[in-house]
Amino acid sequence: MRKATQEYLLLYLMISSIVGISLVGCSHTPLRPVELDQARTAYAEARDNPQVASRAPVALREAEEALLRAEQIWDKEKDVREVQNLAAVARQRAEIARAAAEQKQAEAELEELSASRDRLLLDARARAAQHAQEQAERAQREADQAYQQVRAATTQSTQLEQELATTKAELAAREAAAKAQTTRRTTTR
Amino acid sequence: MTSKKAAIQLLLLCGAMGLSSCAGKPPAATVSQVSQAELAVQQASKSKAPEYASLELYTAREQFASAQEALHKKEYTQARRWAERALVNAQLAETKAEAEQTRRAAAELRQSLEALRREAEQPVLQGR
Repeated sequence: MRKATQEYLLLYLMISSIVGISLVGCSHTPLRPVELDQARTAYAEARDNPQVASRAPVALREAEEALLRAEQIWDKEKDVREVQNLAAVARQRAEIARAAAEQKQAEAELEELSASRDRLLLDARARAAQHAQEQAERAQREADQAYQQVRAATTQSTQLEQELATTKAELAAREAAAKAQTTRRTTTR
Repeated sequence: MTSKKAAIQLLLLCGAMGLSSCAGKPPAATVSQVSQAELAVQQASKSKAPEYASLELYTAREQFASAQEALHKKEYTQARRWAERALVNAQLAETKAEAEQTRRAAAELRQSLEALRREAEQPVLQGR
């Protein structure tokens, strides 16, 4: 009788422990999920990228925290499905850190480009202003030259007119003198 | 005989504990996580993610739908897991889309800058 009770007890203990194991889930030290190593690799890549480390430190820390949580749950509970999920989250957090760094990098580039565009536009405006001034000066010079030429021409023509008048007067005087001589000759004859 | 009774009680206790982990009211933390995921998906949908990170956004939407479904089925652990996944994928979609948008803006500006430079190289020829 006593032996039979012991056997029953042993049997029940066995059954209950099997049920317990199956409910708690895999106490038979399951294999480490590959997702955990993938997450670790993804995090290491992000951390070793200097752009990520310098431009997205907050996102990188969040990725690290997610990975540590997955590792902790794995060490403590060996809950494969939970760890797979946490590892997937950690991996995506590493991706977020990388994307955030790329975003910041592109933003910095954009700022640099817009600064050099402003500089270029300013230069172009200054150059255009200088060019316009040079053109104005050249036009002024040309106008001055033309004026001088006109003035010179005018002076010359006045001179010529005067000369002409003088010559005409001389001619008239000579003619008059010649006439006077002829009349004197005819009268003396 | 008493030890047999004790063993049965132990067995029942084990069963009850196992069942209690997946029954009852939805835990407030899970509900909050599902709604956080919903918010993140909505925010990503409003960004450039549908255009530049459609795969990540699609994944986030699917995972959020799974979270909701699990919540209805009272599978709270599963609901929390899907919600966690949906949240990070929505955030990833949004961040990726922002990065792409900025990259494109920079590329456009670089092109117009090159055009400006080419123009600036021949100002005297154009001036007259």
